[in-house]
Amino acid sequence: MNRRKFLQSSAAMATVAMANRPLMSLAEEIRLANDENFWKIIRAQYEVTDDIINLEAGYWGIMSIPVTQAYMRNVHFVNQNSSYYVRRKYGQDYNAIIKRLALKLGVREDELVLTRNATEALQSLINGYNKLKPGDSIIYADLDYGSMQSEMRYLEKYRKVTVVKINLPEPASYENIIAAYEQALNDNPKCKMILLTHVSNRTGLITPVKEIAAMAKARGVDVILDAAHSWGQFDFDFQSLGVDFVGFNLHKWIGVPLGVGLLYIRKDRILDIDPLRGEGGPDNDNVRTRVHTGTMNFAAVRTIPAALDFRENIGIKNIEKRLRSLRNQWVDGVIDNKKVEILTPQDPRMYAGITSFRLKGKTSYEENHALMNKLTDDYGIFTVAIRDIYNGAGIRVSPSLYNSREDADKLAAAINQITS
Amino acid sequence: MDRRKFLQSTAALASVSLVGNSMIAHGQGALDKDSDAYWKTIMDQYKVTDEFINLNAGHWGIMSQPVMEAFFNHTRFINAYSSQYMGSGRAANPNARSFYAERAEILEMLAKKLGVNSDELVFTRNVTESLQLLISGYNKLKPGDTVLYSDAAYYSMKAEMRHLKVHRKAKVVQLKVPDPATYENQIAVFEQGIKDNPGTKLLLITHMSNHTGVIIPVKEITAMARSHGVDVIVDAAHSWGQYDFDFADMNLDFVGFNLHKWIGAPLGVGLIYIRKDRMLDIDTKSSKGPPGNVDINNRVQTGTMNMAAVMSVKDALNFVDDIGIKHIDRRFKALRHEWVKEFLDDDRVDILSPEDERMHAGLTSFRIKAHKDTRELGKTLLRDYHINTAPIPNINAIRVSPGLYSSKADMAVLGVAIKDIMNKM
Repeated sequence: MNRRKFLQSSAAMATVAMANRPLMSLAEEIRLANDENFWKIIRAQYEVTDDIINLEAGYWGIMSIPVTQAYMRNVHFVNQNSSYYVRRKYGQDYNAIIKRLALKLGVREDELVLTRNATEALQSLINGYNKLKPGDSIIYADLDYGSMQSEMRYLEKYRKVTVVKINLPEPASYENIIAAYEQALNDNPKCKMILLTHVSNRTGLITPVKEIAAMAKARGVDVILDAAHSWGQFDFDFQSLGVDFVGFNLHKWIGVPLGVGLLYIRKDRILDIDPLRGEGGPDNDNVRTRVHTGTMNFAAVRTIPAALDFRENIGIKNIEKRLRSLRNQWVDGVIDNKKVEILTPQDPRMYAGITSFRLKGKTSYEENHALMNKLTDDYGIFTVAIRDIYNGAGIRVSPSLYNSREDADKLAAAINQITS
Repeated sequence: MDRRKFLQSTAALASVSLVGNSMIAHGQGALDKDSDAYWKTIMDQYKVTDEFINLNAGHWGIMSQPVMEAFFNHTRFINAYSSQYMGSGRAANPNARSFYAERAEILEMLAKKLGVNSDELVFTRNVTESLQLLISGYNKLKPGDTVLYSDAAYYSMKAEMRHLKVHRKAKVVQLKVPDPATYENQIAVFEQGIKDNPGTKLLLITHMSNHTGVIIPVKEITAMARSHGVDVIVDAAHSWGQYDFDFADMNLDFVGFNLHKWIGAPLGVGLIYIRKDRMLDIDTKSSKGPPGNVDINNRVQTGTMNMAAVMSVKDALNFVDDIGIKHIDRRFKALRHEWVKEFLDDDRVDILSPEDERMHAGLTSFRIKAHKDTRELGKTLLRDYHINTAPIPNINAIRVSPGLYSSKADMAVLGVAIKDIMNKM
């Protein structure tokens, strides 16, 4: 692409972005009625391909046009001002961003540090958790994220602990998930730490974190929470969860540029996570020493406020409502189909936007991969096959703000046609 | 966006001639690549602030405009196609673009440039991550073994080495490199260090010091260390892209690179090299893959990274390859000479990299002997002379690193400023 064409096309994007403001204030009134027209306006804020219906927002979140614009401005700015900016002003910008994130989560500013994704945050927590003694146990589940399972398994070698994997029941219910962890704690009296996943990347299941964390705490067991998929996808009171160690993503459901995550450690628990490379003295409780990124993408960090603005302008309650309704739109279309298994229960406490399904009896990854390809090839619908669920592989469906109800209807129709 | 238009616009991204075309448009074909006229056409491809002269390219490299535009295009493409581009889409549509296929092509480009195999390379997010993984992953250490590094190493790599005391129960020794540096004394200091510490198993060396700009004889030091049974990890954060060297000829085993410094890729891309037959000596990250696996990809676990930045490495390589590393090397030496020449016979100033052509490139630090507050000196340069440099307080020096966007006039301004400051003292 030549420069002129590029500038033309980015000018076109800027126009849309500027149109954003008046449209949003107009939309303010419409959205109260939860009108499809409101979401049409929001959908117009995304530049997505119409090659395919993208129901795979779970990998990472597509940036809205205003956020993309802000990002490009920030790349320009950082590129032009280089280390002059970073050495003199970046610290202030960083602190202001942390302050805003802390306010949103209801936590202290000195409990948060930015990472490059949830993986980095959780690597730091799982590897760094230093309360384990040889012979202790730790527990994780089949619905946890693959590389976090691998981090947990590594502790067998690194901390000489017994690593216990449990398989979560299916169909899941609020009660049986709690019971599964209770059983695991009963079976493993030496357990000191559990990895919990707030929203499973494999099925979309929302874990009753608050109840399990309270139960664990009563037994002196710590919880590390993988919140990669929850924050920004549905509305919850973070403080009420009662967890001390948490990894977040900002580039999934908050919609910032790729490469930004967040680490939370409750102030009075910071010493329980090793600083990277043993930095500082034994009393070093500076959360920022729990991560060492080296030079990172400053422009992506500077774009966090634009992404927060965009999401807050819509409102998390509305976002949650929309994602749930898109999920319900396709699930309702197949719920009576006896050949389909929906992997999140119809309990609104246990799902948000992401939900996986499988065709009854089709439990191998290969079968699901073939089904994913069929949906792409024959129906133009993009999803992803998920392996390593104890009860069998499945297809994950993650709608986002750029999807329409028709997208969800088309998926339901495709599944019904394939099974008929 | 309309599909056809989108594909048209993104088709241009894949074109390797993007950068070359813009150069031809600048009428460079006829110019001598070592001439100031040619370099003017390169400088024109950078958009830098005119608020100050930026002589701190050492922090990271500013992207040229063509590379930044390519980065924006990749960002928009990947944002629009999202995870469909991450391989799953390819299974259904063989013609679909795939990140992993494109990444493999870029690794081939890098491997060819370095004269190594692409299965000896893996992307990281910067050299810090590369070296963290190499230093903490090096698994040949037994409790009581010694590891060596010098005071010229980058501070966070020193910390990484010191942590081996806890992590591997190693004895950690820091050597002091001689100043002024010579080709011979940089080899001798490490040889002496190994002789003084007979239990030495691992040595960390820094190809080009980020403090002084001194380039050390990496090939000779590695060969010497190897003859004593000592492995060497090389921090090549600042060298690759800044001066011309034959990587394959150096015969190294473990190396960390940056691509966002002197190669000019977007921020957040580095590289690890591990020689194929040494793969097992670096632990997989958190036991990735089956035991005994020699897949270099299992030595890193970045999680989801900025894929558009990785895609832009190709554009950055095209940009610097179009100039040619020989000419970049000469240019940086010329820019350095432009200000250093003013102080070669001036006793009031120390130039911290030697005049030996093998031991410097563009980045070089200086010290005004009588000036004891480097931070203040850095502020004076910025406030009174509008020159951005990097103060290095622990050696009481100022680091000067020009970029491809720097002019000889910029360097001359620095020379005048240093003299002016000294005259006012």
